[in-house]
Amino acid sequence: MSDRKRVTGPEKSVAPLLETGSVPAFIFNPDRRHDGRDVNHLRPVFMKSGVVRQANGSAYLEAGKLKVACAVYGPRQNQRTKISATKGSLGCDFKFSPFSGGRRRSYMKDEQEREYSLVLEQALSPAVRLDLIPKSTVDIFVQVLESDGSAACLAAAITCASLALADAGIEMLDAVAACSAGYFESTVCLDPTGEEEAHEGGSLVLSYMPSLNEVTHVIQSGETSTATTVKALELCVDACSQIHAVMQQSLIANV
Amino acid sequence: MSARIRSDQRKLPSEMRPFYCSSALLSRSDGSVRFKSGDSSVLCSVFGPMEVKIRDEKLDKATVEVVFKAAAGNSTTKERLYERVIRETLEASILTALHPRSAIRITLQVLTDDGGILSTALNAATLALVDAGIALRSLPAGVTCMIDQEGVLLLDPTILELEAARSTHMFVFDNISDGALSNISTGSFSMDEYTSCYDTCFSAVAAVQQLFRSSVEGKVRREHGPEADA
Amino acid sequence: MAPAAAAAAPTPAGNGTSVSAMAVDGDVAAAASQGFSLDPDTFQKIHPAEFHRRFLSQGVRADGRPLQKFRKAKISLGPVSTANGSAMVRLGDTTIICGVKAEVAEPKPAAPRSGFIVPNLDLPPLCSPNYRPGPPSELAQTVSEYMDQVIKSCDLVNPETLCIEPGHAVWVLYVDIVCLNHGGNVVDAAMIALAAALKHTRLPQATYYETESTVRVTDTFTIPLSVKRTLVPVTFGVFDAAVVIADPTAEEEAHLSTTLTYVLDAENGEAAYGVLKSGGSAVPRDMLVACWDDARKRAVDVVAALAEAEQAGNRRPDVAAV
Repeated sequence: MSDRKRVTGPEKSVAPLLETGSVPAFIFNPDRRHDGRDVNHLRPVFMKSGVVRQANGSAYLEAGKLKVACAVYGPRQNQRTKISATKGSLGCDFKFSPFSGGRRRSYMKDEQEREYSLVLEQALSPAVRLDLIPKSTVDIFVQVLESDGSAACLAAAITCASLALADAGIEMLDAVAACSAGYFESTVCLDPTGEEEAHEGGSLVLSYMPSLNEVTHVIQSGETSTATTVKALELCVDACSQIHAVMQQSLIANV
Repeated sequence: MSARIRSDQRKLPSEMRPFYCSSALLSRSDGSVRFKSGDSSVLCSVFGPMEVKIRDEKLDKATVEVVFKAAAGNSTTKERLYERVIRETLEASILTALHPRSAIRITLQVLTDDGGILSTALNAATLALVDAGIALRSLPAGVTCMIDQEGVLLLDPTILELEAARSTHMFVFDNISDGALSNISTGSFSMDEYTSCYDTCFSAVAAVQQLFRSSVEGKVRREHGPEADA
Repeated sequence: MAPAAAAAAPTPAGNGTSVSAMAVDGDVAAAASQGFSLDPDTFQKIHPAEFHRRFLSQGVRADGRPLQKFRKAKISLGPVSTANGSAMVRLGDTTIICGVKAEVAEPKPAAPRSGFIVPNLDLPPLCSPNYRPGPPSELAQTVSEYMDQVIKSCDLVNPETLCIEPGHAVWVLYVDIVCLNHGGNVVDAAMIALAAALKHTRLPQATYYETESTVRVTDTFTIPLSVKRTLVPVTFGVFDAAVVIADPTAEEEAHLSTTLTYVLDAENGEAAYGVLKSGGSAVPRDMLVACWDDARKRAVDVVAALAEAEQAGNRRPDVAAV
């Protein structure tokens, strides 16, 4: 299906395959991850708010190679059909840039992007005081510039979006911090990179409000035992508190 | 100058193809014109002032909409570029303040494409607006030229000649302003080549404007009788 | 009565000149003489065109720049490691990131050795309140198309250098340009990013296997893309059909009577690869020539910025194909 609203190349193109044996097989070793981290260490994260001047609020997050930008417009007029007189609405839009991953992404939204947009909304709406902005909408746009682990990307998007909301001055109960974990047999590994993710047996993304000690959203995929899940949840909660601290520092620095 | 014969038997590089127009072809439109320049032919139909979609409505002027349809195939970004150039050129000439909160829709259909289609389409649009009785501040007219691999300037090139172009230029001038209204130039060219294209197109456009004038005069005479003064 | 000063202009940043009480005229003067005055932000919201006019009449612009001053282009190469080539360009507030992804396709039968370059500009709703999610805006489509025409007609990259196996496999370079912040003059920033990203692109060594009809690459050895020319875009805006300003910001763009874009060659400022002026007020011949001369000077600065970026980026590791 050709996109007539963009400059198109040949009808069909594919990413080239790697020469057999050109990449060494990836062996996951919990004691020695590829980037030297421990299983319960996050990638060092860098956050900056106020990067998009046109927007009411914006933020940029970098974690290792992962790069995510988010802009918040609102509260502004709600142009949708369902307008509530008692509370506002949150419009979330998640997009991978075409060059952000190993395979080129098309400009049209695929299922993963639609799913992540929904998750963003579910993770952030419990925290935002929508009752203070009736009949209005807050639009959140997340653009992933470089992806390194899709679950980590989603977590980074949630964190970035909540930083942007804070930058926009939208009232919230607390800033939402999110982090991801991967299951490797019975080992839980925090913040898996793209390479590691390809070999995991399952993943978990947790969105958490540290000041209130409340989880706004949790999504797990894959098969795992209850004990492992509980362990992962605890690890993620601790990690989220660390991320929250970095978020606060970044907001203070921008005041 | 070398006495080369151009692909369509024209003798001079600075000779335009014969062009003419016929108007009032479509019974349903407010104005319609078919403009033919050599073998390039564009049919333009104008509706307006007409009802405008609320989201496009402008409170103090008319909204000009241009739809450009290629001879064959689906509309692509190329047609979008043509639409934008034609729309922005005509918006400056149409007295849009006379018709606030209305739309003027200009639809261009390429019948045959033999080079210089954008300038042909623009000329058709100008005449169709006149045929529709839409008030204009001026009459924009367009001309295309190219510079070939040997550096020879060819006016109003055909598609065959365009294949061997080193640069292509389209200019739009009108009868009251000093300067170019629109210009799209692509390829590889120097400033001297550019200015000589500008000058050549500027003098060539006079012929197109003469056609506009006689077309308007003819229309006035037809509609108001032979004693009406043009 | 104290002399009327309807809009005390804010001190423009970074220039040193301070524009205070300005000449007033028209009915604003009448209102002003009665002691009515507006703060600059409000004035900008209700009379935006007049706001800019006031500055221009004094020979400066709202952000403090002189009329002919361009914003400095800050270029960084290789910010995206998943792309074969990438560049980020900052022109004042305008931030654009460009990534080149290489894929393999079958060539057209008429040109069995020619590869493809597919440029596209995306103006996502993130970059400006004027864009909503959905199909690309007219500006994005027309700029993408113009870039495509310029690349093809000036032969920026010889399509035959993108050949892997004649008649069977060629490279397709998808040049995706994403705007992160629309602070005006997206065309310039986008083309500079495109030129920088293509220069930075490295393609892996590819081999075509006839038996499987596939192309395989090794990521150990990459070859830089051979870009024959460097395109330098320079955009001017014209205000009220008379005042030419260089590199308009988003606030100025909304009130211009026309814009003029030149695409010049970096090595040889004499040569140009494109001029685009889409409608609007007429621009006389002298102005076209004068702007071209100013554009040449700007081209020198942009080339210096590109060279600076290349120096800084020389330490980056090689990019993998996958």
